[in-house]
Amino acid sequence: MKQKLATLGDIAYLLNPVVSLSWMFQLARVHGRLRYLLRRETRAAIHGNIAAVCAEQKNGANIDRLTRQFFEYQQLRSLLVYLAPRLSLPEMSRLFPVEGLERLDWAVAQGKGVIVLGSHLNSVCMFSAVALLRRRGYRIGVALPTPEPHYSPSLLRRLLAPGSTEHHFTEHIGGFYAQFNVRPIIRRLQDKEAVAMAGDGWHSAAFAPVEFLGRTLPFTTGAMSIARLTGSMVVPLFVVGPPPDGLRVVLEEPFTVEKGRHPESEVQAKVSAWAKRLEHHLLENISCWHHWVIPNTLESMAAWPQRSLRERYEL
Amino acid sequence: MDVEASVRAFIEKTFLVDKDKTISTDESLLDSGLVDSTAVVELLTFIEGEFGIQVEDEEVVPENFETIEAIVALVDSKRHA
Repeated sequence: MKQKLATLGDIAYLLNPVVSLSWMFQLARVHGRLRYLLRRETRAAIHGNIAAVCAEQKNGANIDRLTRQFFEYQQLRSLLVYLAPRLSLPEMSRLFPVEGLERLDWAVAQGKGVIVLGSHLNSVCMFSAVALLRRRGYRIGVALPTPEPHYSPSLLRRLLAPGSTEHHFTEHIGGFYAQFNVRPIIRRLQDKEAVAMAGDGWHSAAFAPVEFLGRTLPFTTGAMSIARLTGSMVVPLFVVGPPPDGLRVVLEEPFTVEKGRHPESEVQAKVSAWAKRLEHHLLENISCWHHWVIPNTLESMAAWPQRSLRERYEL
Repeated sequence: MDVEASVRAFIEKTFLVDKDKTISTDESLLDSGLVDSTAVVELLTFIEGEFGIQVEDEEVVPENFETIEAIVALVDSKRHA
């Protein structure tokens, strides 16, 4: 991935000590609204995707509002990621209140590592949630599908903090590269760490068909297959609510993937159950699912298994 | 048992549902869905233990596990390195 010279996030990072969070959030909203107005093709794609899912329940004005919210929320979430290294623990805890932490604690106590299975609902807020958990002392990191993630430090950021890893996104979230090769994930689980992954992505060698939003769509089996292999607990994580002040990190009931004689059906059952929970939260937070940015989201998702492995892994 | 026979036997015993089926040497294991990322880890454990080799993380790429032929080539290259 091409090295970025500087980003708007760097500006926010620089201004943070002198500009209040509330002002930054307002600027992010304005930025989002500008993108909503100027990016017509993207706006049309998102509008169409949202309308396809909820046209029966929402009128045209509501879908316009949800579309505009998508753009605003996208900028607000990005701002939160860029600012995360600057925010104090109390600030992070206020912005990302966690529900169900006792479930994660119980899963960790089982001693076989934990897969924290997030999603692209309030995308990138999963990173912020992991950063918060790390600050609270949890041994957790994020399995990243690319060697250089989108929020890698720009040249300006590297100049601002030479030699320091504290302000670098990847180190902040305990990020590590693991895609086709899942051994880095398994090593951490065997070391009783927690690994955060997304369960609704396309970087996958295998998919299971799931009834989702009224059609049959492929969902990655990676996390469940790994959990089955290692005996690790899986804790679903969903970041719900509108950014920046209405977010909640919800940790749901942990489960294992049985290691019986029918691996495909065992994995399928868990993938379907997790996707049902995603669907539930998605329908209550429609403008928060990042995948709406994909043109014809649901049709595109349906075609993911037809992509070559090279395309899926963007090698 | 030679490398190919050993690898084939492991794959057929571990991942093949239809035990009457035979996998050809150049048949795609990944595109057919027979082997996924987790199965590759199981394969790695097998070939590292069976042949006394160490496969580095950067060598765990689809090309090296696409076919039985590719896996055999990987094993041979590590044994003769």
